[in-house]
Amino acid sequence: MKREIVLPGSLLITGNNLKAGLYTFKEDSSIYAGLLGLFERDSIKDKGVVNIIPLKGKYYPKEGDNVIGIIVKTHLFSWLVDINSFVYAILPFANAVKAKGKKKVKKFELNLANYLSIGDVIYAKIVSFDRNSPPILSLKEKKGLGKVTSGFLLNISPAKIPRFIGKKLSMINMIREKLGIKIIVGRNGRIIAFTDDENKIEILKKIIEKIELESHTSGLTDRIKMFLESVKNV
Amino acid sequence: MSEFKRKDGRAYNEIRPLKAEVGILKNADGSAYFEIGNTKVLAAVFGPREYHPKHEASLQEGIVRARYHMTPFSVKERKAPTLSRREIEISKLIKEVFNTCIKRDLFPRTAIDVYIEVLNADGSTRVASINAVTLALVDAGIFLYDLVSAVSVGKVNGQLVVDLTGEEDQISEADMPIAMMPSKKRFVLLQLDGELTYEEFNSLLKMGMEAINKIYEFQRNCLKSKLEEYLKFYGQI
Repeated sequence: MKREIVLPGSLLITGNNLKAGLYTFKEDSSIYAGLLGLFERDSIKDKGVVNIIPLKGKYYPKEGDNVIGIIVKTHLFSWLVDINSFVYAILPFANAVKAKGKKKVKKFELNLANYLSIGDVIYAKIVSFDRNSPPILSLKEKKGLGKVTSGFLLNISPAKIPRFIGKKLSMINMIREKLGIKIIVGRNGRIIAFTDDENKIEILKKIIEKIELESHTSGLTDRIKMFLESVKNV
Repeated sequence: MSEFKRKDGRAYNEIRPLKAEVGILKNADGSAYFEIGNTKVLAAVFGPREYHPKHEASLQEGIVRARYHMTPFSVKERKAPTLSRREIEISKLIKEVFNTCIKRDLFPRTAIDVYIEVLNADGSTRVASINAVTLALVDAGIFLYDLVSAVSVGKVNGQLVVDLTGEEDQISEADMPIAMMPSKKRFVLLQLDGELTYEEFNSLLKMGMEAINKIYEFQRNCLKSKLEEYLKFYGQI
C-alpha cells in the first residue's frame, strides 16, 4: 500500500468513468486533489470514486457519525451544539429526551435548561446533514449516547481520527485494553477518557501527540503498542 | 540584454531569494511566513467559521474576508497603524483572488478570515501576501483548486525586470503584479500601473510566468518538506 503526498492542484488520475470525492475535483476527465493529503493509487480499482485522506482541516459532518459536542446555546425547543466543525449542529428536544410512558411534555412548561445547559458535553449521532441545513443530532439512536457527566475531554485533529481508531478498531481497542480505561471517540476530533488517574491521561495525551505526528506512516499500531509496554515497565 | 545588471546585482529575470515557513502560529487554523528578499509577510487563516453578521452570509457558499495590514515598523518612516486607502484596496483584491481559487460551496453560510501582516516592506508586498496566504490556506486544510503563485514584473529605466524592489518600484515606468494558478495556467490577478507597449506587455507576461513557475515549485517543496520533518522527528521509534 503505497501512499503519496498530494497538494491542491496535483493531478491524481485520468479516466472517463471516475468520480470525484469530497476532497477532489474533476476537470476534463482528470481528477485533481483539493487539499494537502495522502493518495492511495491502489484503492481506486474497484470503486469509481477517487478521494484522498486529508491531513489538515476541520471536521466535515457526515450522516451516521458519532460526535462529541458541547452545548453553546439553548433555543425554544432545541439546543445549539458546537461539534468542532464549520457550522453549529442542532439537537431538537424531541431527539434528546425520551417520553416517559404516555405522559407528554407540555411545551409551554418546557425549560430546556432542566435537561441540558450551556457547557454540557454530549455524545450524539448525526442523523441528517446536507448543504441546506445544519447537522441534526440525536441522542436516541442507540445505546450509549447522551450527556457525558464524567471523564476527561481531549482533542485531536479530526483528520487523524481514523488513525486513532485503527483498522477494525484495532488501535482503539488496544489502547483501551492496555490502559484499562473506557474511551469514547467522536469523529469530530474529540475523545473522552473515563478515568481519574492522571498518569493514564498523560500517557493518552502522549499517544495522541504521537498519532498526530506519525499518522501518515505505516505500522503505527505496533509502535504505539511498544510505547505503551515500555511505559508500563517503567 | 544579458549583460544588464540591476542595482542589487540580479539579472533582469531573477527573483530575490525565497524563504517560507508553514504552521507557525498556534491559535490560527493555518498560518505561514513568506519572505522574498527584504519583503517579509505573515499570514493567518481562520475558518471556515460562522459568518457574523449573519444577514451578510451567503446561503450558497462561504465567503473569504481579507485584511492586509502593514505594521508601523514595516517602512522606514513610521506608518499609521490604521488601514489606509491603499491597504483597504489590497485587502479587497486579495479577497477577490481567493474567492475564485477556493471551492466555497462545500461550506455555505461561513466565512474564511485571512489576516496579513507585512512585517517588512520592500516592494511586491501584495504578491508576497498572496504567496503567504496560499501556504496558510493549505495549512488550514481549505479546498483550493490549485496553489496560487504571484510575482510582480515591471519596467525600470526602460528595462523589463522581474520582482521589483521598493526602490525600483518608485522609479518604475510601469509595474504589473500577476497571480496565477500555475498548473492550470489560469490568471487570477493582473494589474498594470503605467504604460507599456503591446510587445513589452507580452514579454513581461512571459517573464512573469517563468518566475511564477519557480515560486510555485518553491511553495510545493516548502509544503512537502514540512511532512518530511515529521518523518525524521519520530523516525527512530
